[in-house]
Amino acid sequence: MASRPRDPAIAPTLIGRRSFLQAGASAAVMPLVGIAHWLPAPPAATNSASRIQFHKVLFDRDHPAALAFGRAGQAAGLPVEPVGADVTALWRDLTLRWRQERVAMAGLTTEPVALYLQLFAQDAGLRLVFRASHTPLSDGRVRHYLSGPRATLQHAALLDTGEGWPLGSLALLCRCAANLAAKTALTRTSPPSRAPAFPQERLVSWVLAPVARNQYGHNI
Amino acid sequence: MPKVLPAGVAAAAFASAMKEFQGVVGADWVFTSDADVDTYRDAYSPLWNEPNEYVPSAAVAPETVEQVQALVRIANRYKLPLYPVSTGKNLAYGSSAPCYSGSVVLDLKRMNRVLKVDDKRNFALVEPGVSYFDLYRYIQERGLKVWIDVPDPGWGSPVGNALDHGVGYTASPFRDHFGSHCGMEVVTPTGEIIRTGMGALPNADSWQDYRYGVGPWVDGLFGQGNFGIVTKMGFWLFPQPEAMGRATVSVSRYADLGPLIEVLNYLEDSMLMNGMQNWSSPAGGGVGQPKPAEFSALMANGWPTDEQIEAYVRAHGGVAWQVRLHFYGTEKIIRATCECAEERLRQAIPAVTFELDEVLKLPPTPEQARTHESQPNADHLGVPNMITYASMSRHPNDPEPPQGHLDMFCISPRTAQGIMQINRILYETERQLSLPTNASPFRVPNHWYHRCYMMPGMMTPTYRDDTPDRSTKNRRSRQIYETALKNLTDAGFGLYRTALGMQDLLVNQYSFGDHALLRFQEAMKDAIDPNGIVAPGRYSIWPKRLRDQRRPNGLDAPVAALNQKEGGKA
Repeated sequence: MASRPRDPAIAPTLIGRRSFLQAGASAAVMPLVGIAHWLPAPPAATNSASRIQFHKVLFDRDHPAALAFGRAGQAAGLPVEPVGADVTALWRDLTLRWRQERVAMAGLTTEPVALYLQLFAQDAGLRLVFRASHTPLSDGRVRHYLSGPRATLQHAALLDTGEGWPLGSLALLCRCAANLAAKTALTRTSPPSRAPAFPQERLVSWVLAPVARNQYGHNI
Repeated sequence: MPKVLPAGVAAAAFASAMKEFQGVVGADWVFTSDADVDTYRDAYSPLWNEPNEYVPSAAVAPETVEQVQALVRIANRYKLPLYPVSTGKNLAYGSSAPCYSGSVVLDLKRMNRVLKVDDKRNFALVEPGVSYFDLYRYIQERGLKVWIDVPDPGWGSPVGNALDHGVGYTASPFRDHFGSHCGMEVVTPTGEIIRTGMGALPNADSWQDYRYGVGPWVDGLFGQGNFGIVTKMGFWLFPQPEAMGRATVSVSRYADLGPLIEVLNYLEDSMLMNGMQNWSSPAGGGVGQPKPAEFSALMANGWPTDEQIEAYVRAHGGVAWQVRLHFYGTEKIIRATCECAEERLRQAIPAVTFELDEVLKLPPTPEQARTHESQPNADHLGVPNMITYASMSRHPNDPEPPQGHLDMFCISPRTAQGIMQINRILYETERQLSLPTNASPFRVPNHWYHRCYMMPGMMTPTYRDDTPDRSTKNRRSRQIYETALKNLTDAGFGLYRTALGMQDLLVNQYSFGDHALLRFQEAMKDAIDPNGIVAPGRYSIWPKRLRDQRRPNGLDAPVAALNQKEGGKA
């Protein structure tokens, strides 16, 4: 796992004081203290050579669930960064970065932002290796539609934690391997949240990673 | 094996063609795996994951024009259709997906060289894979004193956008991207290279200065067409102006729209006003914004009368129409032009309000640039961005929001009558389809092309896999789009381009002389592209061997011949 000093990007001045406090309220009922327990061990301690190191882990800067995701990511030492609806600046940054190196990205964002980043990334030779949409249902549950490596989706139960699903989502991303060959899909529904309801807005968690061509090769 | 092969191409022949393609561009640049080919799907498709979704069989990415020629020659031997894309990010109009499933996407993103930018003669010559961001950066890094004109998608390609008749936001000659091009290099469907205009004259240094050369000007064939693969294109650029002025004109009565437009037409056509008009209706509220309860009451009993509308305007702030005008030039000229504009407007509409909001000296200071580049002003300053996409990013009250949409803009003459007629048609279409009322007497035009207005039609939502009833919703989307398209075109309001899958239907409406224009284009297609390998079906120009693929009556209607009965309207 890439590590970097705790990033002051997750600061009230950047993500908005109100949003930050909302996130704090939501996260208070989440097992944030135990986030390290949720996340997989660092690569050095595992045999998962194919685990992805992220250049950035983006989170929507306005949605409380995404803010909780960002806080948990920061706590875990991930290179988290907030993102709004306008991806222009991010595009400029990533275009230059990807010209030097095909670095992987992950995030929990709105669906359009996820799509735009996917289209950016494809030009750089990256592929969408994991995607999960998180749709709030009227009864307070959240429906998750997941598509990704079979080995990653085996851990989908991490999402079964009511309002803790953003952390479960983060844990899934951190378990993701850049493997398109064994891709599958499933739907899962989290139990109702006991915390104040999240906004009725679908979010998407995703992983964009370079995939070695010989992994899926030519089929002719 | 690909999910779909083009008609008449056997699996073994396809595999053989791919091997030959690899011989031209290298194995790394021929894409046949599902994971790679899926990146060329249309994320906004109203046919997502349905059997008739438009999908390619493979993709190939050449780096040079010689490679394009070689690929075209191979494709001819196998009768394997190629679908050229530049940056391929034309969301809402098909992205990289081909008009004919099984085509091989000819991905030109690797041809991304800025060949020349001249800030003395004010032009650029670029390859198709150059994006607006790329060209902007090239100019900025070299301190060149020219602007580009940018469309909404900053990630788009000047070549691709122009060839799709895309539009922008700065001064009037440059907003028409095809109209401001000068000179092309094209690989023909048989693999020859032609250069248009002065490019055909060896040793000429005026390829990007004079567009016509001698004889018939053929460039138009390559816009929304399939007569060749454009590999270089020249564009006239806007010399960096000294200043940009913005003024806001407000009128109180709904009936003021006609006189207001007439004055603006005069100012624009006499070249006093060279910037874009941004329209709004303060009384009517913005498109998609919540409307007060009184608005529902206004629309409750059918289309309101003019008297009812005027009363509504008076009760809701008293400003029926507002238009923000943009002027480019020197500060002195802008201020003088605004005086002239105000005088003209006051003669026509005595109660008009004219406010010169700002004269921004250019280039902007770093602080101004930061402010302006992060706002819609970026478009008016020729700075590529993705701001419009941001406006589609949030759906706080909709747990299952659309995951794409189909764009629809129709051409209106610059008259109040045209605008109102289109709004009325959209309203009637919503009633016909039992849709909630979104149409309104206050919807305003866009002013991208300088000699017409472009009215927003039905921006139709589309859905992907994680919407449980996606197929039903997408079918409904197709019905909405097709109904609106037919209703608008039946009244003479044509779309200037359309979404993938809707091109046959749209072209079928342009039926003068029993579709004489389309038959003329088909005759050319058969002569120029005898094997029908370049983008078959693009804007309904199908080669002879694939003409049975045309769907002129809509995606869910049976395949049929052109609508002969309704054709021939003169």
